[in-house]
Amino acid sequence: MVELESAAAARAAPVLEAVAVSKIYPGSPPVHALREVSVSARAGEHVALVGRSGSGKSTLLNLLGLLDRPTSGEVRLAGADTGALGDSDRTAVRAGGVGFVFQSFHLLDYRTAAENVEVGLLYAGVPRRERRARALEALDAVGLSHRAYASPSTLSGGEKQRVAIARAIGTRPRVLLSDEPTGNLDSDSADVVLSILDSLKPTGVALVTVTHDAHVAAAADLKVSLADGRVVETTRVR
Amino acid sequence: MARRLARGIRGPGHVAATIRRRAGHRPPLPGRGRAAVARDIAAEAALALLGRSGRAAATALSVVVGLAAFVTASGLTATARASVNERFERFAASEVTLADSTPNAPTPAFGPGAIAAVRRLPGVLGAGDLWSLQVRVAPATTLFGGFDPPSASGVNVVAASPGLFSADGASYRFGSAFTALDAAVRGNVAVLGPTAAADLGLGSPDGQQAIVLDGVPFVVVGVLKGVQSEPTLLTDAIVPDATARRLWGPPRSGSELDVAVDPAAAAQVEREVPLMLHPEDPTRLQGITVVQPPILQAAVTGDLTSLLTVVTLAALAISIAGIAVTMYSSISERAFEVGLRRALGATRLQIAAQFIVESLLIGAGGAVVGIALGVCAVVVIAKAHGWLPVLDAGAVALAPLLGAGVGALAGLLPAFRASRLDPAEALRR
Repeated sequence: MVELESAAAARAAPVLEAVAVSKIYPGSPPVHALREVSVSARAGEHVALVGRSGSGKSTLLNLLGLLDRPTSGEVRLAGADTGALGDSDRTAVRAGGVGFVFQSFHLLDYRTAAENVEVGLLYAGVPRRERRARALEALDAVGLSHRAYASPSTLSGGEKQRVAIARAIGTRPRVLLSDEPTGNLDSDSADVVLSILDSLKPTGVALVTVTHDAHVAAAADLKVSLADGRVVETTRVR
Repeated sequence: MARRLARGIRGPGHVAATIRRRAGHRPPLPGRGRAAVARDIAAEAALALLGRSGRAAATALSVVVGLAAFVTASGLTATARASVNERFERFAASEVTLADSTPNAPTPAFGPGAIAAVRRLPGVLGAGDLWSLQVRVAPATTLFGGFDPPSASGVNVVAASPGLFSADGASYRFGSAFTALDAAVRGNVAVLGPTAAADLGLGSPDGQQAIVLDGVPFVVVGVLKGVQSEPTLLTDAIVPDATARRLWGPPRSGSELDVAVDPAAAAQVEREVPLMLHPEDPTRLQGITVVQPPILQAAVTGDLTSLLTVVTLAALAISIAGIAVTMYSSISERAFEVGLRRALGATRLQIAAQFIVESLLIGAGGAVVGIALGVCAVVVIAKAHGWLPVLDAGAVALAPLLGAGVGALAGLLPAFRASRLDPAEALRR
């Protein structure tokens, strides 16, 4: 009984959390990209960050992914504040704990699909002899095992994004951050990508997706709307 | 971090470990040491280069040019040095000159049989003695009231043994040297240097001519064209030593002995002749070297080495600048890749190391091509000039390492810049 309760508590606790984070880019005048924004994602939860361009979505995603530091506030990963971490520790946390999916895929065009997935595994410290198997496993999870040795230049936009997702999930992260994952895709490919992201939730990964697309936002569990660097609305979709 | 945990200090390292563990990050396996990480980075660098082979080739071009220049310069320097050495050795060691240091001594410096004894020494190719005569020379026509050109007073008269001409490598414009027979019969014959012939108005002797020495007529049996050593002979009138002794007595102002030798025997002959001819006082004969070939040779080869050093430094500077500029400018194009790798967990050190290894590989690869081109250039240039191509094996062996070093050095600044890129900013580009 105690174990069940603790498991339930673990599921209820946010894996990723921004607490009153602000981000000010220095300049003349300084740019207030985020103003005391709080948002959280639990294990198996899909949170969509929506808003117009310049609303602060991508800035928030960078803070959540430990690619940038907030001017104030806290970014907590697995309940611990990451503010005191040095660059190398933040890098190590990203390597194994956070996956990224970008709008323009960011695949290395001189590597095959499998090799692109392996790059993520390399920095996560996975031994060379295990990387290929893990990469093929990840590609299989996104339905692209038959294109493992294809060059990115021969892949469609949807396939490229699926390779990018495979690269992100290859390290089995607790958090998957996507920045406009369907922004460059046709509707059919976008549906495939969305269904793949949705299929990841049972694995316990916390999904945070930045999107303009209402269709993507509707597929999330929680929709957080931002405007002028503030959270203006939080809607429980599911 | 491990040390902090061991000490129980709950600093950021502890927090990081907690976060990594909770975030599901698996620490590297025990077997995955620095060597494995280094191997991975090297592989990533090599694949990145192969993936941009065109750009890599363009970047390597400066190294190709630089190292080709280096190998060409070192090869041509070695070729020139070998040629200079050969010429110096041929010139320096082909003749030994021994001078009488005590002209007023009661005994002659080179007594009867001395030259024959010297000729028998191992390594001696020929020998002849020589001394100045204080006699007046004039064209034979003056005996019959002919014109006595004033320039004739500038002609020196010397006595020499027949062997001197071959010892000094004489060649003739007209006739030949007087012979041993001429000397044996103490004949009145003379050989003129070309300048002496001109001064005596015998510039174009086309038949037998004569000169007068202190009123005694001498038949001109030859006019020199040139000599390999003892260039003063070109301005002299030369008569047989035996004839000079008969007419004017023994040498009064000292004499010298020119000995043609095998280059390898030069030093030994210079030591042995004084001991052999004057065992009681070997200092009676002094070895005379008109030039100091080893010193001059060292100076010339020193100049060549300086030239090589300058060319090498210039080549290296070109190579370093070429790689550094090209790689530095390529970072903007590769910003997204750097941002991606950083997002995926590459440390700043790993990014820097990858760029340095890429630069190192470009340097080494460019060096290999540069060596090949440089060797070809040396062979072609040497062949065109009729030289024997000589390659500095050390330089050729060193070149790939030099290229790699140049590459690594040139990669430092671009690597530093790449490692300092802000990943969030880089991903936005």
